[in-house]
Amino acid sequence: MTRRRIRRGRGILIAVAMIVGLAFLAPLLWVVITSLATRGDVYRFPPAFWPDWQWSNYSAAWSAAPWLRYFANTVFIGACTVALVLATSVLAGFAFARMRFAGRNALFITVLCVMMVPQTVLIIPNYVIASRLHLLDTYWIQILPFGASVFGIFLLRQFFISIPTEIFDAAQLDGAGPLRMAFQIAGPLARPSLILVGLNTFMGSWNAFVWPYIMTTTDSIRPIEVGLNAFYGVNGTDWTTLSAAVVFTTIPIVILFLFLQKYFVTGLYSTSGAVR
Amino acid sequence: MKRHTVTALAAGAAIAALALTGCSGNSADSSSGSKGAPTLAAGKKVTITFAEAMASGALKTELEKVTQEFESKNPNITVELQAQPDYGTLKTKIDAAVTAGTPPTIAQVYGDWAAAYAQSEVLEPLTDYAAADPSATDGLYKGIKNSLYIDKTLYMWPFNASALVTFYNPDLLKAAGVEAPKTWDDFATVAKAVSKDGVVALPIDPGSSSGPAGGTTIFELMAQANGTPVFKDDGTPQFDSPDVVKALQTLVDLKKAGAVQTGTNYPGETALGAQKGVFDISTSTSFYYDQQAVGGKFQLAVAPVPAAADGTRINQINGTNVTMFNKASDDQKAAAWKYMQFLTEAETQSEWAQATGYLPVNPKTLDLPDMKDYIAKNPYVTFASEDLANSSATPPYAWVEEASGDLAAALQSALAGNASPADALKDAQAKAAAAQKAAQ
Repeated sequence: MTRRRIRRGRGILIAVAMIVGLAFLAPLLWVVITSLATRGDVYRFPPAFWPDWQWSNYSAAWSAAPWLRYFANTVFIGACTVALVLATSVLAGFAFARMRFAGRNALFITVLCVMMVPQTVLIIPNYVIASRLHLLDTYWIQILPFGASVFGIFLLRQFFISIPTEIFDAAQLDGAGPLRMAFQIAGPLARPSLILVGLNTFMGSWNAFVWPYIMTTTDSIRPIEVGLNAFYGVNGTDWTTLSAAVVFTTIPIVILFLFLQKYFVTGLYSTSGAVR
Repeated sequence: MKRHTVTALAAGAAIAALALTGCSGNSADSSSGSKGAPTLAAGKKVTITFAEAMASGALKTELEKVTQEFESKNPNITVELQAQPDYGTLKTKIDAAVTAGTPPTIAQVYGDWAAAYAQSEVLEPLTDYAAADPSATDGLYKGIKNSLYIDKTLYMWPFNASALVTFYNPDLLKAAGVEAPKTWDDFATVAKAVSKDGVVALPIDPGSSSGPAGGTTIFELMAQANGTPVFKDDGTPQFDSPDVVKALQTLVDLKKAGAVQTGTNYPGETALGAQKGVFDISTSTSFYYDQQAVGGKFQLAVAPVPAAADGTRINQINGTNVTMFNKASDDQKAAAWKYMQFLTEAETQSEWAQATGYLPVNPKTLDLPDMKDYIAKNPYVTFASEDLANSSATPPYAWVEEASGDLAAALQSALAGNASPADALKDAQAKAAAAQKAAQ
């Protein structure tokens, strides 16, 4: 009786999970169908649920922008940003969690407050700063401002707090300094959190759009999202080729997620100390 | 047909920054405009930058093409196109660049943007430039010419102009036994007659407080057809006048009757393509996208926008102009002026109009043989172009953008049933008047 009840409960849970999963998949499926539709079919009502196999949309989309260059730029910008974010998150997270200094909590709250400021407000002052530093229209302006992540600092601090103090006491007795403790003891223990921060940063970098558009003017240094704009105009949108481009620009990030999805989950749990 | 969407926060920051810039950085460079138009020394090489939003599709390729043609005719001038994805981003980019003291040589602007820049003294007055060849200005459509001035000073030069037209599904009209409406009163009757069995006469995007959209423009035309434009020529809002309230009441009544529906991102185009909408009242540049949406399901028809009750055609000039920044060197200014004039030459306008769906800004273009062939295939170009002579653009005053957002919010609120037309417009009038006061 109890087993049957458990089995039934499990069945309901799976059914609900499948419905929720399908609800999230539906927009993606819609994009794929649109990417293979004729332009007239995009607006058909009721909508078609079977593709029209217009592969020419993909060739049109591919020839509309230098995608390989955009891919390379995006990977380069994303990788550099991730490296910087991981380094700064470990350093700041360790300092806020393990080091004692005057104004530590006030400084930490100040860092958190940065999250509350809408990015839109900062665009013009940031542009002026970038202009003064001669960073406009460079790779640097797409990397440096994102080299520290409040989310990363917060996540790492929470994790480092949960590590038993004895480990650091022992390391200190063995002569380890703060940098060594941060990078050789705390850092490796925080691997799931670091992967989560890295993935989030990489995805943020992959999706960057307005910032590179405002801060750069040369196509050869711009990232992939800028290329998608080739189909979105001030008077209307070319939905079929845009959808085709969305499909092939999304595939790399989906593959990355599929390979590393367990770290998203474990990384989130690790902030509460549930996974060590 | 979203006219321009810029976040209020960015706009606020930009206005403050521009005010500071106007007080300091550029004053040293502003003298050249009043000393007559500079000339470019023969053979001297110069590069100019053009910040624009023609970033996709035919707009991008055609602007690149005409720019290359200009460069091949003027080998000493290089035009660097700085394409931005939309008008909101373009404005943010121009604001930021002006504040940083590195504006482009020229940029696409709406009249109200130009007014704010002129107030900050970062623009080059073009009156002396145009004085050298009055025929260039006089050759423009009257409505276009009038839209170039701010307080009687020429600050802008035309570029991509369009007017509203009515795209419609003739099959659905025929099925309901009605014809395309000639006046707004006709429109209300026809709209109710065709709205049945899941079909809506007119889906519109009312816009929001962050920016007006196509539906806001339709509402503005209806108010003007009733006798009162939403802005006076001096930019003073008159949102709570009886004619404006009456126009909003008409739209609310049509919504209640199921003849108007609200949506976002070109809902008229989407519904027309799905054969669930009858009319898409939009700018002439939507022709390509409406054709694509229809995709041969029926023969897309185009008519003039409904007129006032006495038959007077009322339309609004859409699109942007080009303005020049006074930070540029004299050589850049001279080169930029040459480029701006090239863009409005009849031959260039013919090529540009045929490729993009924008309307020619001077009537001479319509007489060119290739343009005549184009018009034969697209007869709507004739009546839409004629409207450029008798219409006006939104008045070029700095507060108009914010006030238009207030008007769009009132339209949205009344159509959603959250406020009566009179109350919604009274509230919008108070906000717009405050914006005007703050900007003056």
